Amino acid sequence: MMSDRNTHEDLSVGVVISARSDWRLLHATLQSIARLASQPALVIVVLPRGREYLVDQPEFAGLQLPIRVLAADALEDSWLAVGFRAMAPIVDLAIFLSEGTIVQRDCVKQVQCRYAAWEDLVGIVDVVADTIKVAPNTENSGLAAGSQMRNGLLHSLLRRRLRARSLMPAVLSVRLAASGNLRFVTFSTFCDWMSYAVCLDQLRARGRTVVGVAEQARELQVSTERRSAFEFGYVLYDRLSRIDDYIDRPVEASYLNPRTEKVKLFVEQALQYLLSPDTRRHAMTTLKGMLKARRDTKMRERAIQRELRDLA
Amino acid sequence: MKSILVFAAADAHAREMLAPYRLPSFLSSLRDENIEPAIVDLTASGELPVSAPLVITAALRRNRGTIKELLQARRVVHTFGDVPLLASIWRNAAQAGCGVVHSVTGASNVVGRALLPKSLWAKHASRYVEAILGSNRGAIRDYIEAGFFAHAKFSMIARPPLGIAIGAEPNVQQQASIPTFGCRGHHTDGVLDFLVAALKLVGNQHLFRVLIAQTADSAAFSSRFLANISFQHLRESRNFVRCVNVLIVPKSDDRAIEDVVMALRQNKIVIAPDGGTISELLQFGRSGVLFKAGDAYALARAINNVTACWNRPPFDFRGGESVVDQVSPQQVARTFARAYQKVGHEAKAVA
Repeated sequence: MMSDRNTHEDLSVGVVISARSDWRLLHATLQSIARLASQPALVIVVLPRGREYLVDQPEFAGLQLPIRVLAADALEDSWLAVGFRAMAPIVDLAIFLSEGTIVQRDCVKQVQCRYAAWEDLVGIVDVVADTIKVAPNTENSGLAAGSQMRNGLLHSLLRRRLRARSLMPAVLSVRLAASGNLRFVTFSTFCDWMSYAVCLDQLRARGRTVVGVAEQARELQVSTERRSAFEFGYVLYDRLSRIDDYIDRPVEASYLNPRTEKVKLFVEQALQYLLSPDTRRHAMTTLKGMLKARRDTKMRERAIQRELRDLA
Repeated sequence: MKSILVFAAADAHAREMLAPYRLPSFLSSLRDENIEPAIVDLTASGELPVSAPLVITAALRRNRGTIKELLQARRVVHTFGDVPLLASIWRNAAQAGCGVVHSVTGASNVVGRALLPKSLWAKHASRYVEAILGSNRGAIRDYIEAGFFAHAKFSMIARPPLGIAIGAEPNVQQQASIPTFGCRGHHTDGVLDFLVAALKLVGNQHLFRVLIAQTADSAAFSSRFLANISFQHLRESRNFVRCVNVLIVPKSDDRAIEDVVMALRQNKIVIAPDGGTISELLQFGRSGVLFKAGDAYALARAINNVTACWNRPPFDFRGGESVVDQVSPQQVARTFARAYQKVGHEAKAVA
């Protein structure tokens, strides 16, 4: 064994989880982390302020993980920033993921190895394309263990290649030593990919950044969709349309292409409406939300143009 | 371990960037790590240090037989400089069974020349390189994103070694009534024009002074400069930094590392562009002020901010020792040794 300082064991890892709405999803994510081959040095659960009731702290003790629970002010403080600030003095690498993301046994070890081998690597976003669907009445203990209801190969390939990334969860990992003075932006509950892409755009100037598909993570989907489809469609479309209001993105090379993303969103919802009777109503409501956001955006643009004309 | 350091500098600037790796102090540190370096310079002639055990200069460049023979006697071939000049070395070294390591510095503008036939040939040959060492992360990224080093197995950060010893500097931070900004050396490629453009954008000229270490280039401009700018002869980094309160590095350049390290050691504020080795040494703004590279307005704003908070600077000046450690010849030699070992281990594993 070499005596070098940067073998993967020497890079300490912390995991930041965004918990928002469902205690069962958070619990499943924590259970999967507890089963990791290489345990993280710290696990931080970030909740929106006022939703602290979501976590059952005594139950954390049974997981044998060093867990800290922090609260983020939804408006001013991004959960990414809260997690980053808490992690920075303690670990070398931080992994950010949302509740409901199930990591497999070697996930953290692979991230450690990758960063240890490539010292120029500063940030990775792995989009979670594969899903595990569970019945709504499944017990907590059965959620993370996986289920037989995984998607087929063709479905998985199509999701990886064609699906809008905004519709899939993602895992962000960053090298903290290269991440000083980053500006984190949280757009909304449904926009993790956008937040991660903006973060990666900033890191791009500091080293190598990579976007790929997560082989070591799955999304846990409880069959009943508890989120409001209208709000989901509206928020996604609205944030994509107004992304430049939030942050100055690099003009030439950005991981986020709002136009392509919006087209993919529309196409997927339209196809779901036509081809899938089970999710027809959900797709229709999502489309309505997106169309409303589009109308509002156009109206806003016209109002601004009118005001500029009046000023001139 | 026997290694061979191959240098290929296309121009004087590149030669200057690679000079630290041939300094006697660095070669001696390599020997302390049980590395026996031999030096091949494919472009220069004559001025190599005599302390290296074996030196091949341009005179032997065309004698491929000699180089091949040399490659066969060494375990690791470590190349520096312009990639188009190194393509045949990589191929010959790999065929001779040596581990191939390449060091990336800020000297080569690889992206701008990526489509030239020479660059395409070099890109093809770069598949023989097993490990990449870089003075900063951005430099390695540029090469990898341009398609070089497709089969490399790992990368490491190795800063350019400093030629001078930097020990504990006396704390000479004096709270002057107004700050003196300093900029030293390497005033080529319009760097001085850029600095002056930024200074003209700063509002209150009477709230600071500027001291520029004069070179032959800067002397020609001196008559056009602002009243609060003064010049002095280019002199040793340590003494220059002592005369100023804030060091300005207008353009990201690895040659300014010595000044930056000296300034950090003397608890001076550093203003530098974001990107490159210096911004990494400054921990992306934790121990200095960064501005958007090439943006005179951003530099002016940084100068304004430092001037505005001059009476209560928001820096704790911690971390100077770790920066000195990163650029010490011993540390860089240790990183080289780690890379050579790793290349050696992987070669054994394959065998």
